[in-house]
Amino acid sequence: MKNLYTVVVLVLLGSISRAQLPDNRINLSIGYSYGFFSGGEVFEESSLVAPSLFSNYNRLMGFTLKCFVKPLNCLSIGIGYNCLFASDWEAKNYHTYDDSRMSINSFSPAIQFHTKYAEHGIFNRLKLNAEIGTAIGPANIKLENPVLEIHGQTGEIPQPMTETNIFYGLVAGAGFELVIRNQLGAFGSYTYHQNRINPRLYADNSFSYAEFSLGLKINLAKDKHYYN
Amino acid sequence: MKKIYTFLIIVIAIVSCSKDDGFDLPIVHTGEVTGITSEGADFSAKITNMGKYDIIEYGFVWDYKSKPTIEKSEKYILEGNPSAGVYSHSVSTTLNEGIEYYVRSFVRTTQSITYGEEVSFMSLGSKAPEITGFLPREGNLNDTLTITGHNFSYIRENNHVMIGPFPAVVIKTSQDTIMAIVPDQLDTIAATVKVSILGNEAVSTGRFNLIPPVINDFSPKTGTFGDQISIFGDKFLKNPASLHVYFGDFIANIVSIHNEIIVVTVPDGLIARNSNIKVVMNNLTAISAENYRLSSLVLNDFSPKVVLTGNTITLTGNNFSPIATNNKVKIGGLQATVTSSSLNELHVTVPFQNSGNYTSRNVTINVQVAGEEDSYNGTLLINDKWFRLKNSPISVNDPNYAWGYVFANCFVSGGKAYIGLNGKGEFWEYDIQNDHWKRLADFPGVVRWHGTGFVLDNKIYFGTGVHYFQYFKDWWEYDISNNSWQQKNDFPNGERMGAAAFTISDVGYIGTGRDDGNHSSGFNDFWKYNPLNDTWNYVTKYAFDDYVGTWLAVAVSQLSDVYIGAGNVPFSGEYSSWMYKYNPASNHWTKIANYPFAGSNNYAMGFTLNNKVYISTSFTNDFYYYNESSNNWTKLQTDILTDYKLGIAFSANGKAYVGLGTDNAMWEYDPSR
Repeated sequence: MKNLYTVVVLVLLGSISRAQLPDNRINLSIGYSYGFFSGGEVFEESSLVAPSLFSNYNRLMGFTLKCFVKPLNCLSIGIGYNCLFASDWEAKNYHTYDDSRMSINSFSPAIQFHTKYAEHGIFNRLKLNAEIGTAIGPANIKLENPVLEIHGQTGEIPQPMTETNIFYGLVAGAGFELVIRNQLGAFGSYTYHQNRINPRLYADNSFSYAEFSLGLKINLAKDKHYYN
Repeated sequence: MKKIYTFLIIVIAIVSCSKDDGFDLPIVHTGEVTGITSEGADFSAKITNMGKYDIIEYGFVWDYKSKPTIEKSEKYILEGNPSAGVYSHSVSTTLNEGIEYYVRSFVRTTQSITYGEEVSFMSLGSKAPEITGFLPREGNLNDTLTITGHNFSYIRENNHVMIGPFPAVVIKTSQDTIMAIVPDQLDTIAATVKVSILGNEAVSTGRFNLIPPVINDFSPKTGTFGDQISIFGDKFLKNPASLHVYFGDFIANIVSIHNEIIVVTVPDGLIARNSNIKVVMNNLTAISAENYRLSSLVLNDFSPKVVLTGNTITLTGNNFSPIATNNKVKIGGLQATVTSSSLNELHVTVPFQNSGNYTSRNVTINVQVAGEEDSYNGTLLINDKWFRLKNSPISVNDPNYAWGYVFANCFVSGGKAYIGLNGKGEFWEYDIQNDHWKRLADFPGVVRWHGTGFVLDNKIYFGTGVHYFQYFKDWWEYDISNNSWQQKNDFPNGERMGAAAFTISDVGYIGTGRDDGNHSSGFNDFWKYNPLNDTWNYVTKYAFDDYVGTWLAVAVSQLSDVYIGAGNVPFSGEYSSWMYKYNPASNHWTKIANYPFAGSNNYAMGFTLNNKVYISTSFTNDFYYYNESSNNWTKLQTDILTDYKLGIAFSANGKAYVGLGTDNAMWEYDPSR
């Protein structure tokens, strides 16, 4: 899949622009995301060493939505939304969270620094960018196996198996946008998320993951430029 | 832009607004065990949810079995109010080397217990606990000792507490406190306190001191059983179960205990006149410097003065033991049974005569109490009809000599009985009045069985009998005056054994018997002996049959008649019970009522008393006497408590004497009592 995308981008970049494309002011991007958590089998917090929930997920994928407005030639501001699903929890020495699943919904207000619009040449069609932003959102865990044992006054009480927590953090990344037509383009990005979380069903207090996204870009409003 | 943020917040709120149930209770997660060394291991956990209820305690539980719990497993409870986040503890005791342990964190609230994930680890061992102190430092047995320190085990059985060399029962434990009972075996004043967990021992620096008893004095110094004595001392235990007072070896009943005074009663069981007083408390003993003395025995009187054996007599006096068996009473030398007692009175059963013989019919009563002995003034009369006399000398009826003086011959002359001659050559004189035995000159003839004879004047005539298969008819005279034997002319009509002999009107007769040849069915002839010219004359024949006689029959003289019968009759059935009265003057035989015993009526013995003939036969201890007027036999209540079968019987001076046989005992029968 990666190779296919790479081929498409190179073809587009190598094509000869036969028409001047107008600059756009508001972009909406939608794409597929694939990522992976960073970290070891266990995490440490103070004197606590325990199996990590996040870093033992082997699969993380979902989609991303972004909407940016360009107030300046080299800067856009906007917001991104990621919806990622984590599964396939596997640790060498633990079975604590086997078969659990997690969904991460992240809203990320961000500032994007990008290349300036060019009337001619490759940057008439291609925009390279770097962005930085904050992230906030709910992370929902669903356990398949209880990890606790709770005894009430009348017997054992089933532990909660699902929990949604708000996480917050920083997002940084880089990417590109390629204009295909006046109102349509493609984008690709790499973002790294570093979040803190305060869950109850598991002990992790932070998680980070890298995310690769690839998708389509829609120009919602154009800047007017006059040909010289 | 504002619209965008508003939209964002609304979206997040909606997404995160999913309902999370079950988070009212705390949630805790157990971390990996780290720092595992031979001195312990480090436990850690993280509380991620506090819940809405008050947290009572939190910490760790561990066990060598999976799923440890706070009820059954080792635990460590952290102090203070928890907050969400990580907590940890280094466990340094209760871990055994080479054992895989399972650990869980826990949080307990008023409503629930939450256990975190279970983790396991292989222990490399742990250290000893630590004793920082204990209270009280001085106390008594069974007191509760509170030991403080660190790293004790919550599992009671894992804390082994020793106070001195004795294990103490642990009643409650926590990680820093052990409550143990001072063992009731402890018997040293100062003892160390030790706590060991899994073989790792901690020893207290100080010692636990038992409180010893102290006796300063007691009062009064003299008294009797049941008197109250005050013992003065210090720090006496108020629990009677933990304090004991002894007079000598006898425990005293405690009336009251105060810190400095114990009031006790003199134990009823006291058997020594002088006793020290001991107070035993905490297994420590204090002994009085002076002895307590029982007041002297006082004997006042007894009643009745005339008794039968088996009767109860009442002895009065002072300072008897209230425990009946502690009053030793002897009546005429025989140990009597005290059936009940008080300080002033004893009830005593006059001993039966089976256990021994009284020294005489008039006996003294001797009482011994607590080592002091005294006798009553005056004597008690034993008024039994049958009274046991002194035993015959052992050789008279040596039990090692088979059949000893069973079937002994007995002759009475001049208030003395002459006994012996059967089975062995010994011949004895029994002085009836003085109850004295004297051995006479042995029989010079061949030792024999079933010889017979009679007394004429002051001489005893004896002969016939059998020695194995040799039958005799030799005839001997024993002169009582010079204790000598002289052989006379033989019995004229054939050797025999089991002949009957009697004396009537100073004439001696002998007849019946049997030999092993022609007269195996028994002789029936009777002859009389003339000692003046040493001659024999035929008199009569036994009335049973013209040709058949009897042997081992009995012949008892009564005035001018002799009663003969029983014995071995060579016919079966009732013939052996037949009895005859023979009058030598008229040479007339009269058959009288059969002897009532229905068994083998041989080996009989008899005597006359008050014009009555008494006969006992063969293998019973019963005597029957013959009623002349009604021609029947009546059983006599003998009350003889020894076995006199096959013995001797004779009468003299209005009394009868029965004894020997299979026992050495001799009995007197006095019908006048």
